[in-house]
Amino acid sequence: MGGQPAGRIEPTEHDYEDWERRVDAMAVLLWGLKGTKRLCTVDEHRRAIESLPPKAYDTMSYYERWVMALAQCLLQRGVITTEELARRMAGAAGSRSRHDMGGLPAKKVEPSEHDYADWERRVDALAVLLGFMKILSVDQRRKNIEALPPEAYDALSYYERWVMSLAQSLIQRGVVTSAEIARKMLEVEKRDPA
Amino acid sequence: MIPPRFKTGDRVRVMKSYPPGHLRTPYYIRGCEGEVERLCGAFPNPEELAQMRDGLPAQPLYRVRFRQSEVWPDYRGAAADVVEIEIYQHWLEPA
Repeated sequence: MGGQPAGRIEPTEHDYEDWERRVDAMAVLLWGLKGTKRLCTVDEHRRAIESLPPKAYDTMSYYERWVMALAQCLLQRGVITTEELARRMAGAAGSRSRHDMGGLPAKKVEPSEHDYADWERRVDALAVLLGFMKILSVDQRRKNIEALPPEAYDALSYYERWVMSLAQSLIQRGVVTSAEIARKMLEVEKRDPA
Repeated sequence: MIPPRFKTGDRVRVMKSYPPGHLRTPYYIRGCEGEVERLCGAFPNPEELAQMRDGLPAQPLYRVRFRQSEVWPDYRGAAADVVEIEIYQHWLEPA
């Protein structure tokens, strides 16, 4: 948010809750003490914090962001499973993911025929190929579609969601780097629009 | 493969939990009670596949039948109306 308009910062002293201390301790332990196994890096943790949907980012407190991000890191690393986390979280309130809209009020579905743009066909082909080459599972593609911030999920078209998800997945799998995508995006931007 | 815990006709309750990650258990059905309609087979756990792990051992998958009137408090359709959802075993408990 560097450079964005903001209110005045009011510094206040405050003590930490026990759960906040525990989250901090857990993070330090996972980052790895000398001679112990590193189960999460600071940058992985940062990446997970930065991937929080904007509304969640704004409403959560500092250590709430930390604990959400740690959960994501531990799931990705396979230190814990979604099942284990689900059991521990049973009974706690939770929010609905944007894609999981069963039962919500909705407008009438108007079926219409439409053709696909060339780029959409290419995105589809790319996803099928990555699946065929065992680089990407359908479930990982779904996971990254479901992880889109709600605002993005609503604004993007079907294959725009796919291509965003593919990019995330390929970065996660180490097939491409963020820097490679950054360079390619600059190249595309410079292309003659005609 | 994980051995099946339930058979057709068993009453089950869906775990009421909202963890992060990729789930195949719809939001609206968590916490609801239904009846096993059939065992559909066993499949790698999609929550693990989503993290690019093998999802093994395979999890039994059931088709579970819920009364619409129990799923939606304001349901106005016929009392016999049901919704059937395929749910993995680890999301089900005996009811």
